[in-house]
Amino acid sequence: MSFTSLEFIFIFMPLCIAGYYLMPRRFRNVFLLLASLIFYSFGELDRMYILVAAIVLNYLTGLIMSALSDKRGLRTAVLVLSLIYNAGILFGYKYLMYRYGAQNVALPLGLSFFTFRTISYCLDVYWDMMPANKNILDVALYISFFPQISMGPISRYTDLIKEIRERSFDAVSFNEGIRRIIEGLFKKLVIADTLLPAIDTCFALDASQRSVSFAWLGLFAFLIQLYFDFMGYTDIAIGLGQVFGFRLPENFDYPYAAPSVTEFWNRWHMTLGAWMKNYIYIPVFRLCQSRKLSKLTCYLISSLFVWLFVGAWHGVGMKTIYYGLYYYILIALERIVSDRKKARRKKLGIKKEPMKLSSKIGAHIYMLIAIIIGQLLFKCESMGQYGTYLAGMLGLSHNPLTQAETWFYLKQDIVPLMIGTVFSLPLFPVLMKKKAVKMIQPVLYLAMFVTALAFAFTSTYQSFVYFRF
Amino acid sequence: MDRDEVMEKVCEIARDIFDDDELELNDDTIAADVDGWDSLTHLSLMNEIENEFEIKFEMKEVQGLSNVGELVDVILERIS
Repeated sequence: MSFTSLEFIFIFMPLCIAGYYLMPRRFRNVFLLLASLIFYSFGELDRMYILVAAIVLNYLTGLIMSALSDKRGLRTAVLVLSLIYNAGILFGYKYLMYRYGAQNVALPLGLSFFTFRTISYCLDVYWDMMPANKNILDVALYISFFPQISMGPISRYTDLIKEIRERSFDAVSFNEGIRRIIEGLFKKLVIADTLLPAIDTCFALDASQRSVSFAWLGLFAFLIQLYFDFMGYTDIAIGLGQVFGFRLPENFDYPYAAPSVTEFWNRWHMTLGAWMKNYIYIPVFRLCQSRKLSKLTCYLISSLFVWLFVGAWHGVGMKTIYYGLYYYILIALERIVSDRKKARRKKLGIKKEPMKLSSKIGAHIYMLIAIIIGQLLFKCESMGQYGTYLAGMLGLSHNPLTQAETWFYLKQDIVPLMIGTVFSLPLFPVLMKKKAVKMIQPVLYLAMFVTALAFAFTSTYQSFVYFRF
Repeated sequence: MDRDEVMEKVCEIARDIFDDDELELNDDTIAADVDGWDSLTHLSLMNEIENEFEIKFEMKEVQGLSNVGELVDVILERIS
């Protein structure tokens, strides 16, 4: 069941919210767990045993590690077994997708997202950041919480468990949550989904038939669609969390306004970045430090691991490895250049000066070009398509400069493209604080909700880009 | 070594790591208060402290300390 489906908006969500608040406090977590399992069963009843097995096995892993607190070797062995199990299912499915084609094998709903949470639970318990949880219902809710199950945001166990155990009702937060859900529906249904016909048409064309202008328009539309699709989902997830009293972590912080590729990834899918930092980057870095390797070597090795995992997570096959390596090289180079500049300043005894406007513009253009090249790789199905698409953007595929589709889709999608571009910049929070906007806020949100619903009734596209990841 | 001496030593290491000769830390300082305190500089700081005091931090200390005061407490506990 998608968050933007009519059955979710009109049946599941209202019933959940009403049921939750009618329920006595002590049964609310059980109610949310049941709601989460029902939500999951709508999408994946025949493979629900994978989720249930993950809950039971990781709960037992926590208890066993806790019982073995004075036997370090055995405790580590149990952790390794749990990691092999958790990651094995995910990579096993990835292998099946690679072997039989991504179109023929679908990942179980939310597999990679709940795998992140099961690994987080096991490692947090292993590192003694939290004791093992004796209440299986808490662990089950942490792993299967329905606002987060299909596409995150990925919460760390140590953070979410505090809220599972204790949270309070707050009317302001409840209202904010409802507004956030409306924003998410609008972003997904009115902006992201509207752009899909143009993108699908553009990427389905033969390289020689795709004009330079249509190639640029298709990619531009894809960048806006990808961002608003994922951000729209995240808004709904965070909003639902708020309605139930949870503060789920943010996933985006205006990534397209970033001044570097490093900063782009610090602001894009932030909870994936935090997970990679906590559970891959830091442990590998510490291991390198214990081998007395230099800071730069530790950084290069641990970042390489992170980016290979990020790449592998974004799809299947060699393309994903190139995707990870592309960003790894850019980010490593940015780090090396920044360290050299810092060392030079230290040597000359000069302080860091704020960037000039021209440098800021230059940095932003560099970031956008780097992201265009990188995200196109994410979108293309093969390296062959990627090469011909890039060549087509530069007019090197014997393709025309323009075609009728460019003007047709530009005219049709000008509004979502413009709204998407403007709201990719940090303007919305500033606007919302203006007195005049504050006064019309209820009307604004009502208009956004009604528009989103109109699109929901007529839309033929329901899936999210990161769905089935 | 008393608490003030440990804090002063941590400040010295931090000044070098964050390349800021005027940096002052206190018990309530958190990473967000210091310019350039990211995951890389954090790990370098922890490593330098380990070398200086000849101690070894657990992963929960590398990832879970909320301010400089807690860091100093852990160092004091280990060296005592």
